Amino acid sequence: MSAKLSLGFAVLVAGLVGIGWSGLSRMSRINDDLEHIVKRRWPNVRIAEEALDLMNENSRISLEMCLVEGRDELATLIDRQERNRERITSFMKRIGQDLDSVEARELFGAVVVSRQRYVESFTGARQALQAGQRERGRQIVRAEVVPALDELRRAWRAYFSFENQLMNQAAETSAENYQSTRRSGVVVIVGSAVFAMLLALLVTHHLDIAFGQLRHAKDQAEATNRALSAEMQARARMELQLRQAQKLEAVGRLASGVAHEINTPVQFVNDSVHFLQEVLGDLTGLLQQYAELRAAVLDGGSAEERARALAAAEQALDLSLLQKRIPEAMQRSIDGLGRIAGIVRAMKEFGHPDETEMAPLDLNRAVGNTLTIARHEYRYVADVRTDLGELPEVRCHAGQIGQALLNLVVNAAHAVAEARRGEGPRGLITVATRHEGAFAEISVADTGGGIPAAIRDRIFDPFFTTKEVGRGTGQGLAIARAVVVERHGGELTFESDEGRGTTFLIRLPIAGRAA
Amino acid sequence: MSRRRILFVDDELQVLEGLRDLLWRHRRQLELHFATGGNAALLALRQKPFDVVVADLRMPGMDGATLLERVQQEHPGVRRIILSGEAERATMQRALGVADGFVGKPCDLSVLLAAIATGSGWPTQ
Repeated sequence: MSAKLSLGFAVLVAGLVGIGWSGLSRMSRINDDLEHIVKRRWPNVRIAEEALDLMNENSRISLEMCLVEGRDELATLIDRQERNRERITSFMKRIGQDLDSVEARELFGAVVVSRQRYVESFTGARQALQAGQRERGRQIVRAEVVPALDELRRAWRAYFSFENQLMNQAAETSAENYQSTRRSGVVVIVGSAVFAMLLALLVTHHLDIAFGQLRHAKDQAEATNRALSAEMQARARMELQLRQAQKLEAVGRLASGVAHEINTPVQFVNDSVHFLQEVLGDLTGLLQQYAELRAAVLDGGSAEERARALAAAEQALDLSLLQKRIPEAMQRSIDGLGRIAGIVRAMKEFGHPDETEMAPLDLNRAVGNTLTIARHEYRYVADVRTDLGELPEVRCHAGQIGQALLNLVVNAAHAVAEARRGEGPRGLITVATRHEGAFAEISVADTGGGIPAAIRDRIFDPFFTTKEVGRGTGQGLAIARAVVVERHGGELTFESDEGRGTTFLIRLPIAGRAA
Repeated sequence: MSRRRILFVDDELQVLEGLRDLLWRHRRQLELHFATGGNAALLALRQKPFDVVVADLRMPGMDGATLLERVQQEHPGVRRIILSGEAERATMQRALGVADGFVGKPCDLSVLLAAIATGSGWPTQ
């Protein structure tokens, strides 16, 4: 619709410009015509008129010349007629230079011819009159001068009416041109007014549209704002879910390791208890034999045979060995159950659902739990050394910090395993804690291959991973950073030496995140 | 019948001790030897003949699958049993290719005895 409108405007403007242009050219033609009339026709007409007057006067003078008696009077009349004739001569010269058509030249030629006749006749009459031949003079005036003048006047009149006609024609054309120019002027003015009105309408319309769009944009911006804040809330929720999911993933990945860790003590506790149960039966039989021996001794009967049988039974049971093995088995069972209990406790503490409030946490204990849970990840590839300093309790979300710590320890184990490639010497993972002013620091150092310089600025990006599929989803460090930096207002930094290892450092404000 | 010679390999000493105690009743029929790693196990195998090797899969240094491969090459007559709590599929598949039997951890006596005795003509009870 806008295109059609534009086209319409273009046509309108082109039409107006065309009309305006033709009007202007007509104006200039009118101007030319008027100039022609004023400068050429009009003076000629005026001159012709004046010349005609002079001729009429000369005609009268000629008749008077026939009537006057005195010489002086005659001379005066001849003088006047001469002066008039000179003026007429000068007029004719002017006109003669300025004849612009064949018709004009012909008409003027007639004037010149008749004038010649008039001048000749007049000269004859004057000479006669001056010579005192009054009768002859009068004769010439009546018979030649007056008719010649009449003819001259007619010739003049013809020329005059021609000029007059030309002038009238020019004036008429100019008037017509003026009228039509005025019409086109009116058209241009009305058209311009219509155009201006349409333009105003259009502009108003477009302004309306623009204001509408502005309002719409404002509404949209508000809607976008609302959507954005909803989005941000959703993101925060998603982040929480992601953290939970990563935690589950980490725990899930650790689950088989933890199962293995529990399996081992279960295996030997089970073996040991079965052994104890079995030998308890044997020992109960042996005790029975001892009871019988005691009874025989107390009865004063023969005890020797029973004692010999007992010795054989002791031998068969390897009693001396059992006396050593039974307490060992007992101790092993206790150790194994302790190990299981430790793992379960660590899992329980680690698996704390996210608390909404921060609570004081013994970081060193959290480190111990983390190492217990992750043991299966590192025990085959690295030794772990802990260097736990004296720490005040730190206000934090225990579950989140445990998760961050676990991610760092698992990464350290993977880095060492990667560097060993199944063979090489065992690596070392050092976990240290330190009290540093208002901060508690935990460092996790490994003797793995280090982080290549080229990827150092990407390791905290979500989904960035160098691990093979199934071993890491690229969330570990991103979550650790979110937990430490965003949730706790702490810092998570690292130093890495290619070929020698990496140290991650967590710094947590002891008093908790500044509000 | 001579005593059957069995070599248990596990990086956890307490697991080995537990197995020794579990088999207490069969101490007259079985000669039990223990190694805490793959290299120690190979050393023991070179010193005297064994009937069975029972090995854990995940161990520091040489893992169980590698050990059993070496045993298969060096001592093809020795029966190879896996005793493991391992659940990782890839490790399991590799190990099962070179093993004659598998016993999951934790195991009880009868299962262990059956694995050790299968195909040997040796009574399980």
